[in-house]
Amino acid sequence: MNDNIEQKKRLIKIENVSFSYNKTKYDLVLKDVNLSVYQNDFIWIVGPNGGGKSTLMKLILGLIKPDKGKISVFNEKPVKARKRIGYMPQHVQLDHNFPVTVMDITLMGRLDKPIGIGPYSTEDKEAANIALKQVNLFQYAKKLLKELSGGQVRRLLIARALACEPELLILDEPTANLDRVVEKDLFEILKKLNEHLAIVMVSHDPAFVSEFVHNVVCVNQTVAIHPTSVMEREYIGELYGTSMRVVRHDKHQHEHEKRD
Amino acid sequence: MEFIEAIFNHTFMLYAFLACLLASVVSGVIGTYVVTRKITYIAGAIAHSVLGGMGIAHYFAVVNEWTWLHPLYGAIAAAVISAVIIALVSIRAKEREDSVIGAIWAIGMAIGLLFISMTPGYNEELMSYLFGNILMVNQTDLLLMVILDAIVIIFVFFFYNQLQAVCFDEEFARIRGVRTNLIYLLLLIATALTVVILITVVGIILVIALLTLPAAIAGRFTRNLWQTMILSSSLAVIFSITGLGLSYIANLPSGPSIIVVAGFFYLLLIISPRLTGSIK
Repeated sequence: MNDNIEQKKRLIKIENVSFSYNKTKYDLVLKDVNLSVYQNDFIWIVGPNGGGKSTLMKLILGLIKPDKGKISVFNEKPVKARKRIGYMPQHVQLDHNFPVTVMDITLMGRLDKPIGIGPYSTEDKEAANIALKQVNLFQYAKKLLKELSGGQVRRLLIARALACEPELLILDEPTANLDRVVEKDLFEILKKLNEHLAIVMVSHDPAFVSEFVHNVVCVNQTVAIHPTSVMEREYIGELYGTSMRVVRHDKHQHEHEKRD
Repeated sequence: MEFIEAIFNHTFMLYAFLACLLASVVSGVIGTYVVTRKITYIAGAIAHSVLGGMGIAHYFAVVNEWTWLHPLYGAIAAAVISAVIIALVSIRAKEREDSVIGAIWAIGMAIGLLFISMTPGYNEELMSYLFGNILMVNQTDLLLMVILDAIVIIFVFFFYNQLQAVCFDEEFARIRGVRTNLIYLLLLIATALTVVILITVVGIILVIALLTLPAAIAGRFTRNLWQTMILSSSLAVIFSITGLGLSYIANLPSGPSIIVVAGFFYLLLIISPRLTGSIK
């Protein structure tokens, strides 16, 4: 973690959490997980498919409850805290032919209503406009979902996550199937957002991590945390035209294998 | 012209005309959700299960001489019960949904057929349940349709944003504090009420077409859900009135005529990509 950890506010605290989907069998997806996320953190969660990355995110969002252990987000239960979390799901789940505009989708981030019904207010629309500007999509507000490119769809989903004016952003596979140039643009936006927001991001692209990611969290039933270190910068810079950091996590992967 | 004169000269034609309008409005509104949320199969199951309710209501109306017991009351009860069962199963155990939908579809019909066969006398009404007979619509039916229309429209008016979010991305809506399970349950109940309204026009078997074809066509030209609803309702009006006119002039059954008109336009749209302006 960073040096000035004492002054930073802790946003997420996960203590000894275990979880299994099949409660009758002893079939743990996550086992004794400990993890903290602080203000202004940029954390990249990596790991193999089925390793428990998405499960960890669902626990933080309060969509599922841990079998064992404790999770608090902003010192509250996840279900209560999630109105302050901006969430971006994997875009593959969406129906791209749905008759809905960029603005309509962004406004979905403003659904938290005291009574749960009724139209959007002027403030809601203002917040949606600001969110769209933050991801450089404001001029596309009236476009249909199916008229957007892959990279624009990711930015739209980030705007929707930002519309609720969150203190924490959780992103599920924001860069899957994007080419490196579009990915770089996306990271520029995230980097800027990270100035006032903590970001937790899941991706199964573990080899290269952009230079501003603070910690890489490797999830494979258990959790290992790696601070990013600068390695072979020139070589990768040549390859992708940008500076990247490399995380060596072959060592603890061996540990995982031994444990299995 | 002959058809338009008939609307003004014969009460049954005027009632049929009004029934088409009332059915078209909800068909467009709820059909839009059925198509975008991809719950056509669920709407089909609800429609067919309605025969059970109608059969039971008709049986008791004849046997116990409960003349107040209109078959449509049985239809509403059966449709709502089916909607609640399907919603609960879908919320509790997602993977079983399919078989439960199929079971409700068949069991509802089976119960209906059993009660119809047990009902003494000649049951010519069976045919009008299955294929609809809009020329038999009376004042009571119209009043009931107005009430059901009002319930559905008021529901959609107040829950428009929530419904849109639940249909588009249910998980995200839940995280944003929308009570998605409740909204889904209410959507299925609204679908059930809509199905009952449409049954009076085209009958149980043809309901799905009138519910989904206008919305499927409209969805290709519109940019959001309320535009889809308005266009889809307008198309439903055109299809049902054209079909009704056709059936009156050529002396054909009205339900199938309406569906053939709707189906014709839908197929025309599919096979002529130039019309849609998008070739994939």
